[in-house]
Amino acid sequence: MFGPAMAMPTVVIMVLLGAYPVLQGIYETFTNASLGGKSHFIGLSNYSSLLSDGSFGTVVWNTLLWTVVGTAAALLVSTALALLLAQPRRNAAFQLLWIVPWAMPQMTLAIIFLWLYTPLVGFLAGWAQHFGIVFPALLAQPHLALWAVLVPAVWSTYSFGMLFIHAALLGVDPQLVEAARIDGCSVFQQFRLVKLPLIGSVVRVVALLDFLWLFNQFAVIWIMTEGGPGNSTQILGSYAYYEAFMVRNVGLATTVGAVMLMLLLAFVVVFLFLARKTYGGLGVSR
Amino acid sequence: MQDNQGAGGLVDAAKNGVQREESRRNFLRGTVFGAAGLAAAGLAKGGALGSLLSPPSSAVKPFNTVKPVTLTMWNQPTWANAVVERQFWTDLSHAFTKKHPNVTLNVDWISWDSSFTKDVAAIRSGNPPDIEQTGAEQMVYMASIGGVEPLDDVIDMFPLSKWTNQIKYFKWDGHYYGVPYLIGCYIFFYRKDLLEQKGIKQAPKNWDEWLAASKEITNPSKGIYGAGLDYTLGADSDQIFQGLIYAAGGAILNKKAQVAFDSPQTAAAYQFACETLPKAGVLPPGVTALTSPTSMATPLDTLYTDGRIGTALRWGIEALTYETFPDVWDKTGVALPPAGPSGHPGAFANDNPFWVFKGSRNKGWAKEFLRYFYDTSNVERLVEQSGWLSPYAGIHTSLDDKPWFKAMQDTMPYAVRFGFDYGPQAENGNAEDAFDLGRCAQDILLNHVPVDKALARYAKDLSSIYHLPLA
Repeated sequence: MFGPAMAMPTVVIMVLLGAYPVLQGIYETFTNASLGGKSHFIGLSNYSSLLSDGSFGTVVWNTLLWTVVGTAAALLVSTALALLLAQPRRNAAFQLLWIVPWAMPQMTLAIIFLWLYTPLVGFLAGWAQHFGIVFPALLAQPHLALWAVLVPAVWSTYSFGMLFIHAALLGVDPQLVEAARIDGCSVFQQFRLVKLPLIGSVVRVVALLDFLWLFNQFAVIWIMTEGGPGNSTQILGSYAYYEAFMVRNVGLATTVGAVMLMLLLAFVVVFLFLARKTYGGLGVSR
Repeated sequence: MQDNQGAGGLVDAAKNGVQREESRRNFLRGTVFGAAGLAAAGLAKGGALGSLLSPPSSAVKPFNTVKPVTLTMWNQPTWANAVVERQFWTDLSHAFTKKHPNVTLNVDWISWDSSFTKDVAAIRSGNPPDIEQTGAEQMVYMASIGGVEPLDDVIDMFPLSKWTNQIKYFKWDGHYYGVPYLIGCYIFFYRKDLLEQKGIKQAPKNWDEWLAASKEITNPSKGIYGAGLDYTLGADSDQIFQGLIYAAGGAILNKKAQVAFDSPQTAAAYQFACETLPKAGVLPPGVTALTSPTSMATPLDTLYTDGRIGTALRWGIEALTYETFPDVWDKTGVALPPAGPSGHPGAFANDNPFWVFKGSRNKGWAKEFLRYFYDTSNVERLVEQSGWLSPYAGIHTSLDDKPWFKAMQDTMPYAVRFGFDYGPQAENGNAEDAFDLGRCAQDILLNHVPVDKALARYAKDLSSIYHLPLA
């Protein structure tokens, strides 16, 4: 009894700080809460409104595209740069430089990229003009805007993964790599057959964290496009903000949040299941 | 909306001005006697007479306090030049402290996007700042939830100018809760030289002339485009489209608080802006992405000062920015926005109030600061440096001779704010916050949604958001 009693303060704090807000949020999905107004219980109306909203399908699809492609891109960049940094003649200042995107505030990053992309008078448009090229208005084209906004999001994400993978690569026994080289493996084969299996557990954790990070992304999208043009860059995070603070429909916004929670839980469960089935767990390398 | 669309309205405004002038004289007279009283109080400092002669209102009791007071003001950037704006407030704060050595005014700058949320949270927490300067659209809601203090005694002390067209919306339950800070509207800027090269001697007077002139001056090979309008998401496009809709004879909400957005008149405005102008090729490429989250000026202003936009609907005060580019400014003409199908122009107007939070611990000093703010010399400097019209009658500055300032004054009778069309609705805050007119424009412009369908969808959304019936 003494053990559980000692753990109680922590349990109480965790329930108060973790479970209560989530439960309160879920309760609000059944109300018509608005910012500053009174709320009433309205049953499943918010869920049915969301499902009947023509733009919600687009928002979910955008979120999946954004998260999956973004995670893949961030992972690729993180791994490539980690390999580069793991070279024997690495430079500390050079390493530091690659961490800058992670340290940069999201708002600053978004404003910089907005300025880069601005049609006609932006940085890239100005440079293109010197060469007689018309730089496309990326953020004004529904089929390009999502990818244009994804670039700064990936840029701000990769550093974190790069540091983890870099640390894992430093732990790989150089003799194993050397043996593979002597056996005739190319550089790519050395990576695929020797290094990757050894750092696999770290890569999986980074992939999971990148996914969660990008799925919940909001600031970059909101500052650069507010989800536009149309709803072409609207993802669940920005959509929840739009409903809560622009439309002030807190009930619907928390419903979007609840959907995000369900999707994330489903993803994490599937991810962990697959990791367990394939690798025996998240942190175990086969 | 504003009672200024005709001679009757102007006569009323003039009468109002006379009454206000009388109020001002009474105020001045009162001030003289008040000053004498305060002098007597000063002579009797520390004695019983001093306490008897100090201002009787509990709200203003700390006049002769020695206890340090710090006033906090939430302010939102509204000038074309943020550096000049901040300096104005810094100087004002120092001058107020010089006059009242125990009182310090801290001005915190907050963003437009977050102000409503912050205000509501501050009121609910019971720990708000003392003063705020913000958008008129929030005034009635804050009054209705008991978050702000009546300011009748402040508003009665000076004569209002005829430009304070939205002040009636600062009134709730028989009291004024806001005091007007600055007022203005959009006007029409155009490149005289480009028009003259095409034999056009005057500013376009209506949409047909505007379209024709824009076509004439558009020259993509030189990177020059005829029309500069804001199609981004956010407040700027909301404001542009409110002006266009009014010029077309439309509205968003009617007087009965019904959603009248999908009317043929509103459709005419969207057709002109989102179909006619783009098809004519007079808009700069990527116009929906010409956005800036950080300042009043947007890339549209950069394009204008680069000489790459021939005509533009912009806030009148942007002239202060444009003037700093003499090459373009010397060739710039200003006018009222071209008239739409209704036969009259249309523009968006603002009238930002100050308010004092009910939860302020220094209400007396907060009101005293507002009284100090409305000193003639401060208001003159405000107008001179910001370019906004004066809330205070009888203010004259060097801007009076500027054509753009005159154009802003001439446009004010046609300047609207559709969020107030149906009168203040406290339970909903203000419908203006739900306007998303740029998103509707982008649906037509980029996603090629037919105008009638885009408007119908948007009207349905608005009706659903605010539980207002469709007209």
